[in-house]
Amino acid sequence: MTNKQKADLLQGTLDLLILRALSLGPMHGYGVGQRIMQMAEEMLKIEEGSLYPALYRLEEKEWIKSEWGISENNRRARFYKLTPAGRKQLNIEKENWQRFAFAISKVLGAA
Amino acid sequence: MWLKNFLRRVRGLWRSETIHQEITDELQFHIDMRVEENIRRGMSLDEARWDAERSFGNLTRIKEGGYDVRGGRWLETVWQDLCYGARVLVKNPFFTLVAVLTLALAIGANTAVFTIVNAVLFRTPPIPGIDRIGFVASIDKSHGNDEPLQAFSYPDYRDLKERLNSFEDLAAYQYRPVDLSDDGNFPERYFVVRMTANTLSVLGRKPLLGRDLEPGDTEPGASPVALLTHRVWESRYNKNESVIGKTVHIDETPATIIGVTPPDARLYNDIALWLPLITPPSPSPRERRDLLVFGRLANGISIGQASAEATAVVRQLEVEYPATNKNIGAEVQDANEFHIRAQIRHVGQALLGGVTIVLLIACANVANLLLGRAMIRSREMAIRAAMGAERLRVIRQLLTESVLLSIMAGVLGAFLAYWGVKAFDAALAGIGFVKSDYVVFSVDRKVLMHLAAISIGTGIVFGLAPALRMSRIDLSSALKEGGQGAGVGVRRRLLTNILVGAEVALSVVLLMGAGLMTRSMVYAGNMKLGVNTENVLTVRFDLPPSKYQGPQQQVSFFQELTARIGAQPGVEAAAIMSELPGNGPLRGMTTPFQIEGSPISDMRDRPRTAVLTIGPGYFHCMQARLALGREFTELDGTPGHEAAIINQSFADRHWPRENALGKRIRVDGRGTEAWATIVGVAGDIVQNRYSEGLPRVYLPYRQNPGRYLVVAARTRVAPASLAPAFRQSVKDLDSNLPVFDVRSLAEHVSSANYDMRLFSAMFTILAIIALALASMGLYAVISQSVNQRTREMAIRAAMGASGFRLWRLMFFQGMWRFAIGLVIGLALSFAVGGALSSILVGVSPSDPVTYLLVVSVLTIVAALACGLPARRAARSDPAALLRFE
Repeated sequence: MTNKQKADLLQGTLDLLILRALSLGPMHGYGVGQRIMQMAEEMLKIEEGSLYPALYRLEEKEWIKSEWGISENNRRARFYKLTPAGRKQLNIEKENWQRFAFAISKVLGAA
Repeated sequence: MWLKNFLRRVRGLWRSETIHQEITDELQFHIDMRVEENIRRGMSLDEARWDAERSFGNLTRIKEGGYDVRGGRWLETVWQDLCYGARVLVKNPFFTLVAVLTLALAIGANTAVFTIVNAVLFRTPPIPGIDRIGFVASIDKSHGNDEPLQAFSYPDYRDLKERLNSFEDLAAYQYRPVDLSDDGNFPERYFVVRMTANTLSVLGRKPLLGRDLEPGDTEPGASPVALLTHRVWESRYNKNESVIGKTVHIDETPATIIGVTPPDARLYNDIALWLPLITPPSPSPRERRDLLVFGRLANGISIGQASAEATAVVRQLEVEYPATNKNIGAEVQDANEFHIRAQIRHVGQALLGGVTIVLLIACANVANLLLGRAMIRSREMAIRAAMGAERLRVIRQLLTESVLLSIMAGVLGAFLAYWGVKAFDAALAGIGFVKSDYVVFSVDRKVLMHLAAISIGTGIVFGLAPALRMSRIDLSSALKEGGQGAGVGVRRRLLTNILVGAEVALSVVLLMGAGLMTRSMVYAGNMKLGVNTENVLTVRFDLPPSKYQGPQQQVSFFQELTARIGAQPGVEAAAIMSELPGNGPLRGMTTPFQIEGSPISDMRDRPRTAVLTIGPGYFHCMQARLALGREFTELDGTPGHEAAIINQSFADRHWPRENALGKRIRVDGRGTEAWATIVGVAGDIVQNRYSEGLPRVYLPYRQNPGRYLVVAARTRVAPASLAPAFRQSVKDLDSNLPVFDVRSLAEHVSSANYDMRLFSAMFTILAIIALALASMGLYAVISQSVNQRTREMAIRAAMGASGFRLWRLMFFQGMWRFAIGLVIGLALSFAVGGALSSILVGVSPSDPVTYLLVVSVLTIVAALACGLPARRAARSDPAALLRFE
């Protein structure tokens, strides 16, 4: 497997996590990272270095959109929101992932 | 989606500052949050900040990534490339000027020719739904299908209509001139159609006023009716609706106007009246092919399918009626294919080919100029590469530059084309050429698309190879001072050589084309007609059949008129003929004939000859040579005195070793079935440029009269001065007869070859452009090569090489490339020369004189183009080089 494919796989997973986090409601970039960490019970840490490129990428695909808003501590922050297309994509990716995870666990179980 | 993204980017272009700021703000917020969090967790402020920033990694890259998405990165780089390209071009005004002018010339010529060819060949007359109309063309298979017969006989039409399932319905018509008169208006000559009753419904049109033709109107003996086209209704009857029911005279026969058609009801040619085609009494002869057949294709049937079915049906007819239909094939064609002569199409295609060659040569030239600049710019390219520019990015930058060049050239070329088309139109008008009514040399969508495509396309074509070459940089050697990377040089030189060779080869092809066309024109212009064309005034007649029904009336009219004209002061002699020498129809008709004493085995395969009708005194009046025998007299052609005169080619073919006088022949369908005695053998007279050396039979007009004849008079004074007297003579004889085309024979003859002159002039212009461009290319290449090898030349000079030796070295370096191009070009011309053969007269496509001429002209020009820059090499001075270094 080349580096490129590996990156794609990871990216795809990150995209899924971001979409999932935003499906709970609009949130700014920092909050998205925090939210994923909390949902994963601190087992996952999202690097800022990959979080923002992922957000921009999803925005370009129009799965999420962004606008300025006021954060919980009364500061100006860029909030991201799931679009209807993004919600559809989330369902597709969720299903894909579950099938993938199921398959992997089968393989591991069989060993 | 695509558009939205694009618009967002365009907006981004103007808001790039804001977007950058917003992204910075967003990330700053994140960092601040992280710092706060870190402090909460017990870090010191510095520690907290350091940790927050570290977790981002390359902050700039993230920002740029965001800008790419939100802002107009893609568009912005295009804009940057454009600005940069423009700066580069402005900084090198000489290069820019040469490149733009070269391309503008080629794009201009290309667009001009495309505009003309588009109007003539590609534009269909404005007939609604014309794409679903197919024309059935008959083909004389024994003569090849290059110039089809087209027409069918009435019984053939009925059979086609009955048997063809590919058409919803088939209609038939013929074009005819008629004289229309009514009370209140002058009699006028109009072009009309006689058509089957279903013609308008096949066209999908209904009369605007009144009624359409009904089958009853085409029955023999039906009372004559006519429909007006909108144009005539407007111009002659001021759109008066009471015109319906009015009686007019068509060729002096009363007819009732029953309707007016809408403006968009038309056939290929613009006409004035729609008249019924009277069904000929059955059985009608199948060899009388005088109807054009067309129909509306049935749903889902293509022209090709219809054509296949038509071929099958006419094959049945060949079997059923072998006497008349043997070797008659059929093909279904679209309107343009059916109506535009194959020759015109060939000329159009040849011209398009010619301008494409010019464009390619121009591209090769500019590509070479760009390659020449590659050396100068190699350091710039190397710096870009060192700064991290990707190769693709560099290629894009270079292509942007070349497309910028070609678009500038396209704009300039559009003006050149506009001017060129105007000049062409004026030239056509100058020679009195009448175009079809819908042929307008205007710019339509196709022309604009063509212009846009070639303007952008050429930029990519000539820019791509140099861009690929220039972007492949060997950093270390390119950055060294004065480094002239040897590897790059060799490759570049190979590409240059290919380009120069191609240029030379392509100009050979164009020069050959122009040379052959010019030789044809000169040949046609100098053709010995066999008559004296000076001081001959001619007038054409078309007698109305109602008044001049029988041969008797026709003969007496012409006899009387010739006598009156001949008696006028200033006239030496007058004679009648069916067509003028030097200006006959290019597609002459031939008629089957029979020689007494040579039995014919197969009536269908009889020999054919061209036939002309003339009156007494013809050869005297035309000052043409009679080799043997005598002219026709007034007695010849009367019953019992059937006579014929043959030309020398006819005599040579049929009686090569005998005296033809006194032999008897019989020409089909020309009056009497009696044998005609040959009373004279005339020198060959050229009737048109394609008929030189054609066997020909002259029949006396009494034997074969007609309504369409020409009267010519040999004058003692300037022919034009007698025109009024001519008209008066006609008026005295028949005041209602329209007289047209009173012109001198010299005028007729010179207008006959106008098309040759026009086309050879166009080809010559293209060839000169091509030659100039190709020699510029050679010159530039040698000149660059001399520049690059300055040091080498200086060393050679220092080692004792004479100036002449250095000159010779550089000279032959260029001539060598030229020679390869020349050989390839000659081979190419030989291969494509056949395409011109249908246009040429008197020269074969492989004419050795033209080849020799083209090779010499090219060699001289190439020798100059190589020799001049090579002189600088000869003047190499080692001392100067040392000072320079």
